[in-house]
Amino acid sequence: MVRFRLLKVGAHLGAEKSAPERELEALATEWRVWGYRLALKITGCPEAAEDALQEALLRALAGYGRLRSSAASASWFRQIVVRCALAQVPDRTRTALANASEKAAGGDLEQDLAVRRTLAKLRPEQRGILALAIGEGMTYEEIACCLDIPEGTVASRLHAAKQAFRAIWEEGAK
Amino acid sequence: MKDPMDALQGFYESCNEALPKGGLPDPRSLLGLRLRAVRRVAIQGLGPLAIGAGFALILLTLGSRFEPSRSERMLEPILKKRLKDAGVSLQEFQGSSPSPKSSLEVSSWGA
Repeated sequence: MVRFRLLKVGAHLGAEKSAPERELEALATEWRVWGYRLALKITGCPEAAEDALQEALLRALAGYGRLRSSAASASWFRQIVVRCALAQVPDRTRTALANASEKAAGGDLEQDLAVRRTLAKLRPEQRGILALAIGEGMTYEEIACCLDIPEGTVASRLHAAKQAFRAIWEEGAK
Repeated sequence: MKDPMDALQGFYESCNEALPKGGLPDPRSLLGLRLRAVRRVAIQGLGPLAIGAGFALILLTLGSRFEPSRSERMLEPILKKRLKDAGVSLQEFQGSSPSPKSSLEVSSWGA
């Protein structure tokens, strides 16, 4: 059985790759950088972002054959990354965000930590919508498509997320 | 302190320069990606596994202390028989101050 599996793996490695596979590889090489950064904006935790990207790439590799138009592939992959990032264990992300210290990348360290702590107290979907709207600068239409929700819901959720962020921020500043 | 939304914007900008510490996964190899996932799970699972194994070891060590040894188990029926012959109960024998009579009798067993 093990021998059979090894042979199968060997065949997979040695096999000539099809055109869609090569195309996907080229795209994924490009996507992985912004995919990681997007996941980081949503999770706020480098380890969780790495896991989300990993999972997203695996899902993309498995589902690329079913994608009809390669023109929409970037938004399709973004959708996968967002879902994988939102699915990361909330407690882990929360702990990592709350304990973030030396991980804060450059700039005003204290402020960066305050942002991370504030984000840690938000719900994952609130973090997600803030990351897409403010971090990625996406339009309501794009966010609606990405999260599979109506545009009106995007507006109300974004408003609620901003209010929640402000409230927690001000509470922390007292 | 800045406006919270400006601070959030600043945080997202800092994320735009971030790269994973362990390097980016290589999309050229599906097998490589799966192995990476397995490695991560293994590393995450190893800690609790080690703690569990340590705990089990402690329990086994403590448990073996309270369990009679092989020689004790072998001697038990002989001892019980001798005690019965001598008319001494096991509780009496195990007591802190055995009666002189039973002590004498017990000491004569070895003869």
